Amino acid sequence: MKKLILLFFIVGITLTAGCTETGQRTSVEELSLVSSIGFDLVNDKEMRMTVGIPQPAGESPELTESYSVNTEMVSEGLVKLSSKTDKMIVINQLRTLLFSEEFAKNGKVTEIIEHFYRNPTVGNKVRIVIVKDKVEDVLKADYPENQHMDAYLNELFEPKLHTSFSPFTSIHDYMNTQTDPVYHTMVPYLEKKEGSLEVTKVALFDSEKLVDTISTEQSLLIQALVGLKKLSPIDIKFKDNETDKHLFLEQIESDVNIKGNKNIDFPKLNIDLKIRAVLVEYKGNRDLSKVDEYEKLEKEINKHLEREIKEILEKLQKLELDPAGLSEYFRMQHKGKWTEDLTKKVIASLDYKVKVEMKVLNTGTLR
Amino acid sequence: MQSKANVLQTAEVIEASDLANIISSVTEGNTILYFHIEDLYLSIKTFSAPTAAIAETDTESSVIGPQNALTESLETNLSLLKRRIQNPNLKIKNFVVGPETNTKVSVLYMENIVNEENLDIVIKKIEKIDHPGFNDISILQQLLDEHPFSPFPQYHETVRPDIAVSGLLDGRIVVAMENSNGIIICPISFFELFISPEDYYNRWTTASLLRSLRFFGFFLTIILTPTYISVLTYHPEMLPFDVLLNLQESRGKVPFSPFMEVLFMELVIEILREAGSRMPTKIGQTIGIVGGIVIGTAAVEASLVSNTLIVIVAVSALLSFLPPNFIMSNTSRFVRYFFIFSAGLFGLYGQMLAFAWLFHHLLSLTSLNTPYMTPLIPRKWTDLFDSVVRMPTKFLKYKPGIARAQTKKRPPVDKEE
Amino acid sequence: MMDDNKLKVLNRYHVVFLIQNVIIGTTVLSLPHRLSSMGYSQWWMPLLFGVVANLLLIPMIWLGLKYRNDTLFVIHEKLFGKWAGKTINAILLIYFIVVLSAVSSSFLQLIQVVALVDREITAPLIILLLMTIYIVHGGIKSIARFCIMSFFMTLGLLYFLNWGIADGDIRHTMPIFNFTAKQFFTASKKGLMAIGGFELISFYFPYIINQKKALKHASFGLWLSILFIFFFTFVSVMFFSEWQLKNVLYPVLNLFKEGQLSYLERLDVLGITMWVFLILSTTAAYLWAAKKGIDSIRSSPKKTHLYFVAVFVFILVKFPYMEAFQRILFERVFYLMYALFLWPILLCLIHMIKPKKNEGLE
Repeated sequence: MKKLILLFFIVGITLTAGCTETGQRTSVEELSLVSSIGFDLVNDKEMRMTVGIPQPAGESPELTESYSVNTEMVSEGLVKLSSKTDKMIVINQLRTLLFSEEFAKNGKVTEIIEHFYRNPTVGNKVRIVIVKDKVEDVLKADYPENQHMDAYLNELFEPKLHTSFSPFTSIHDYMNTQTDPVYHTMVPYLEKKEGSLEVTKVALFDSEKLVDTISTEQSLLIQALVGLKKLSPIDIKFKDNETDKHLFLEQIESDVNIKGNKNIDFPKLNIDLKIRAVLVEYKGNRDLSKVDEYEKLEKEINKHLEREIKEILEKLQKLELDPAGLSEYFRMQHKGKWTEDLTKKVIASLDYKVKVEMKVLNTGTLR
Repeated sequence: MQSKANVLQTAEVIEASDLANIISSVTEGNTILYFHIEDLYLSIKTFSAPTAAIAETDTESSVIGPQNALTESLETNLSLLKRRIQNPNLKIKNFVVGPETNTKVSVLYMENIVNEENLDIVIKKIEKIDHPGFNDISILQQLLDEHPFSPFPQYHETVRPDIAVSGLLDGRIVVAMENSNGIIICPISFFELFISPEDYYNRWTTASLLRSLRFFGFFLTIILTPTYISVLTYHPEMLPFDVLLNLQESRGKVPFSPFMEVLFMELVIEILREAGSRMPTKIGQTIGIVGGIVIGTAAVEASLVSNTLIVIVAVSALLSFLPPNFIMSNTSRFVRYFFIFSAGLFGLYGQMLAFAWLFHHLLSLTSLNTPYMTPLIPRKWTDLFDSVVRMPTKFLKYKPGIARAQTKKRPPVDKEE
Repeated sequence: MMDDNKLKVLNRYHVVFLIQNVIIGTTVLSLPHRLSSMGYSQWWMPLLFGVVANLLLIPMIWLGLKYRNDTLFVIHEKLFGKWAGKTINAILLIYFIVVLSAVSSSFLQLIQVVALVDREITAPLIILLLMTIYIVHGGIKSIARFCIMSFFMTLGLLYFLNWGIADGDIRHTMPIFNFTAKQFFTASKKGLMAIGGFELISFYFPYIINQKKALKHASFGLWLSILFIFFFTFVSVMFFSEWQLKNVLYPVLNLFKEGQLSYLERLDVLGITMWVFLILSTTAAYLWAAKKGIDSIRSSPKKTHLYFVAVFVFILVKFPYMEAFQRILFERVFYLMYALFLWPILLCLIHMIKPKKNEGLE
């Protein structure tokens, strides 16, 4: 009987409280759910913050409202922006954080991202982007093909096969690579071109500052070294090669196997990359119906890719950066604390052996 | 003297001194034939109760399988059951309950299978019942309940003789009552209330699919609209981008909070349902369709509710009709309101607490002292053959654990034929 | 309710899941953070804890077998005499109340941060306590049943680790022994409380039907939850950097954040609200034990004792101007917990030393 009284008590509380308290809550349509925030550098102290707020169709003529404000801190900026919009600004639905190149070179990005990482209402899947010029221009521009700017940005940074060169850096990835002494951060680099947006490069960070960029092709190879299984199509243009000129590979599956020699003072790495791909286009003088010609072509591709990988690794070696986490193979065997200096030392003195094994599956349905 | 009684086949001799007997015989509808010379009273059965013909069931209809439903005459019902089990082990015990109505109640069981402890409980409970009158067996069912305050039915009430027969063969006890077309089967587990007899007539694949639909449909109908409330009021970050935009658009002009909106729409559905069932069948159907479409569309156009909610409410209303047991379907409606209020109060946290309440309540329920949630925490491993997935029929020869059937005695039927 | 009449009510499944579910409370969510002084090498610590807990189970069950029909409260009175026993029981009772408050307050703070942003926790706390009382009303068997249910309900949470594994780096698990003795000590001191909860077996041991095999069943339940905890810790090590392990208070919560379904984002909200099942099974078991404590101190079992305990818990969590004290109390309570882990060993020794005539029912 006591149990019943208790049960009715619970039900009673639920009923009364359910009726009285819900009125105070604001529901979705009364909130301005910010989906993208951009940061531009104004001067040493201030930054210009631009927010993009998607609008439901039919409510306002603009599908994305954007507001800008100059501020010193993020929360302060959000409060200032709240007075500009008619609804309460919340960042529960934040999806993209954009920083201008200038801003990133100044080394302020980490501080701001840490602010968002701390906030439990922000998800982990917020993508981070570096923008070539001013972020405000990107967020306030009109895109005739993509009316809904926020949806457009969101789509752009959803991992897809044909953009798999991009690191798709999320808040978590950024904080992870920033705080992990082994990794250096990579962030996609966005450019605005004639009414559309395009990821043209990938930015490299040395601790908190943006230092250099690499091309998307190079970034793809780094992704392959990190261990990505499916790569975006590769376009190969041979240099100094008489017979072969140009080819295009699709449906690429890669498998990487890296072995270190466990020696920090004389680090050596054996990189073994196995790739299976479908050849869809070929320009050159080989007769691909013959098996031995085919094998020769595969060897040419191997050589080409090996050279490309070495090129990018040498570039990183000069910068003393390790976005692929190669020094992790040495940290694994190292007793004691691993520091960023150790990473730099390992990368600078690293001796690579790169071997690519290419297997071209077929050339489509036609001979 | 006897020769006269033998002429009339339906006659019965009554002692002259037994006046009370004579009177009661007359009130029962018999005719008394009195022979002056012999001083002989013959009571002749000139009464035949009008019974409805055996018809098909409306409430528990199925596409395949036997269609006949039980009627409101106990005699017919017993014969319907006996016809299906031709076995001397099928025993019937008769009782009379209700001091005012003197209603006949029969308890049926298979003597060789039934658990005697269970049988004792049922018989004792029926003997102890203190209630003036009975119009329907569902009153008896509620009096037999071990947890009378629970919203869940603890015995299975059905009008289908085939369900009763399979219950008897499992070793369960069937109670039938005069003037009532339902019978109750006990004990029953929570999950078995989602089993339709059709499951055994269909192929096992279809049966398993439909059965899981009904079972998970019960939980879905409970959480659909509450989830709408909690996500919109407390957790807007849970919505995917496109869904969010759609919802914002459809909620844009609605002046109420999601909680009030849901409550309003759920009440409208309840009203439609109740009104539909009170009206004559033909008008009822029209009202259902007209009411559903007209009110729904008009409510959206008048910006009283969002069109997303209309879809959700409609789906959850349909889902609530999935359980084959009508009382269960009513229960799901009640429990849903409980969930709606807890969602309005604490969002998903409230919903989870409501779930904890629901599960704990179900776990503490018993049917004839057997736990209600049996198949989820199985009593016998063979029960799993006939749970959410119904295995092919050749696996279904085991008696379910909940009935605690006897296993020692073998039925002595085979040789008697 | 009918279970109250019979003493022996818990079958083997009940024992397994009581042990399993009572262990998993809020500490699991923050365990990788608690162990973070050991850096990446922490991932095998839950396994070590499992071994320790399994060893500690042995004296508890041995003692239980000596006093088959007595809870630890009664054993105290038998071993130390009435007054000394009651004093120890009173300390135990306070300990239970503090643990209950610590568990509910830390969980509700999480709920406040994740699911009920900027809401007072008073009402959620009341409802949580009422639900706990409601579960405890059915007795220990009904708690055990609830544990089985919540185990199957929350098993799905393991699927949420999927994304963490995909984005994680298995190389973080190497080198295995990269820590100093001091770091190891700090980590085990802070982390061992994650396995707290199995010690309650001394209290429900008399209710177990098959007491001889209780050790086997209890160990099975223990390793089931250790496996659960191990998965969470292992995936956290794969997924986070050392800095993140040190600075993120609830790494497991952040792991949930990584997940995303096409119709539902932010699985952390779902995960943390579903966690209430695990919290309820923990608080219910402790509340039950606390109620038995009052029963034995006042020498009369009464249902109202449940409400006493709940009111105390409420006061402890919600009492104003005590926040600093509260924090210290909740942080330091684990010393008492570790003492309770070792306590049965001492009791076993006393039992052996004591003259035989005082021995309990054999």
